[in-house]
Amino acid sequence: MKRLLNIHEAPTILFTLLIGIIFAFISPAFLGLDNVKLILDQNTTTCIVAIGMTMVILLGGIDLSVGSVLALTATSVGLFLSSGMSPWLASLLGVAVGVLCGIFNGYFIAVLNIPDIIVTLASMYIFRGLAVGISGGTWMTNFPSQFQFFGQGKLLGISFPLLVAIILVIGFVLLLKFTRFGRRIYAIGGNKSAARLAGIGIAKSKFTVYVYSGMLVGIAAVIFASKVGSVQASTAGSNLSFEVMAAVLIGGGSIFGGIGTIAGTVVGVLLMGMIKNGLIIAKVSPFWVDAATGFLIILAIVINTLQHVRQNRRKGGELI
Amino acid sequence: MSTLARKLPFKPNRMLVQLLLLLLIILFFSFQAPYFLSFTNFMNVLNQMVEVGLIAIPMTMIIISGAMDLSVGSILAFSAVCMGIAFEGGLNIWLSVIVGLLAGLACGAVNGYLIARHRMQAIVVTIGMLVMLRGLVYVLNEGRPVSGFPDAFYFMGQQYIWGIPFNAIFLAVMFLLVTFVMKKTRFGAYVYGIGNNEETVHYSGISVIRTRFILFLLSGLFSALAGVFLVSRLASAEATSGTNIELDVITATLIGGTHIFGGRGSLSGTFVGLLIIVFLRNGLNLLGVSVLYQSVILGILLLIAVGKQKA
Repeated sequence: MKRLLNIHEAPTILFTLLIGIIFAFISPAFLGLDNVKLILDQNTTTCIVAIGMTMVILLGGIDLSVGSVLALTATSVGLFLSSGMSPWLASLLGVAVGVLCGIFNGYFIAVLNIPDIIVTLASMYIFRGLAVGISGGTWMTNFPSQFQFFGQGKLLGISFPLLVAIILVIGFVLLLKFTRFGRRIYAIGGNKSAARLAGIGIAKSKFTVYVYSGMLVGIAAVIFASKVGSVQASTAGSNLSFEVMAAVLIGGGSIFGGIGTIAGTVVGVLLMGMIKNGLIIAKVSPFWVDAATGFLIILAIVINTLQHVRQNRRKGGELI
Repeated sequence: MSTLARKLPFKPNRMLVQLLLLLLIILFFSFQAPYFLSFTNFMNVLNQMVEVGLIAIPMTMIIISGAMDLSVGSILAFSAVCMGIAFEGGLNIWLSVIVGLLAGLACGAVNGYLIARHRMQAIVVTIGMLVMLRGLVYVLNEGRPVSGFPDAFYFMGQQYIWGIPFNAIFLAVMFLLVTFVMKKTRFGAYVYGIGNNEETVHYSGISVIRTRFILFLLSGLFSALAGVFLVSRLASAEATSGTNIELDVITATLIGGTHIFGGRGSLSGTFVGLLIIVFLRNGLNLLGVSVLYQSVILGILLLIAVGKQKA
């Protein structure tokens, strides 16, 4: 029992269960099989984006631009499709657009050494403007029926997007745990100067992380476009970066970097999804959802800071 | 750039470069847009820059102290809507204004308490406030605008004194006042000190917590003031007001030479940065460039401004 409680994500898991039980009491439909499936299905895009955000936050960074990258990628996939490309090729090119956005962010952050908050704040507006520009301000609709497979199709009885999300989660869990690249991320986030002295190329790792993050957003955007069936460049994913950030922080990721796991993030995503879904089932005004997201971000940073202080006290190293 | 700088007969300081940039922008738009170079348009620009300008004052101080406040746009909307609701509830308009200002102060106090007292990361706390307050604004108001304020209230945002908008005069006075505070008082020195070396300031027996807290309080108050002026100018309190204003504010501050890592910067620089941004936006508006493309241009400007700064 004590060992169970010592797991870093234990509070999050307990909290998630608690929220689930509360919502189940408020509305019996909440725990129905259909609703559980719905929650899982609704949060695949968020989950995929959150994998990239976890790595960024592990480095001690922040990425505000994911929502705009999603909009840009989704609109360009729409454009590729309407120009008559095959769905697979269009999706691949869409992911490539996401990677390009990641390279843009990574170049300014890692190579030019500009603080990530400023770069992603700027690129948030730049990518959003580009997305609206290439779409001409209209809705992207009329996707071919084959393209719907990416967001609504089923493979082996599981919905395709969920399968993609699961594969990506497992892949990146392994990547972070067992490869040199993954351990470097933890090392840089934990202690930058020590990592530099140990001969780790910080710029290179940072750059790679932003490229991976862009790629993941690209994949998420393809699924998003296919699932929703219509994309409006000016609003698609407009609050995504904040939601994803909330999920990562709630899942035990530390804003100071170096602490956090993808498993925790997945729990965080589920918690956010449950709260959204539960609020709607309980017939609360949808306006409360945003307020709840913001509140969760603040709650997460409060918990985060408390943990940080406690750990430092245990070490007894802090002077002030 | 450096070879060019050596050839110039004078020492190119930062202020001069900014003023040149401003002059270039004004010249460019004077040739491109026929209505740009006129007294009415310039006064119009002054009238419209007040909200961004008011928020840029505390933002400069906060960035100098090495932090950042992303919640300003939401605080603006929150206090505007609080004011509108208080007025609809039958309160006197000036009392409603005070309610709005108090709402802004309260938001600033929450920010300040978490960031200064508990040393939480400013960026994350203010992002949390940004999302939460925007949600609360919609909850409070159900997304419907409040209007129908008395004529006396529109004085703040729409009245011209000797041909100059009243709110621009107010902004100028505020800039002068805060410049004095930053240059001549202990508080200003503390702000620069915290930005340069927080620990030294702490060991000099100065309360870093109190200084930080006051900074975020000021940010809340000025955002609320901006909200009041915005409502007075547009004659309606809307839930969407102040969305994305942080891009303009931060870009103005950073173009103005305030260093992103803190410790360096000035309000006079911010003022020039502010003029650059508002004339740019006005000129692009006159040329019929969409707001979203304007954001692209501002974003690129922001990257350039910070890219030139070296740690």
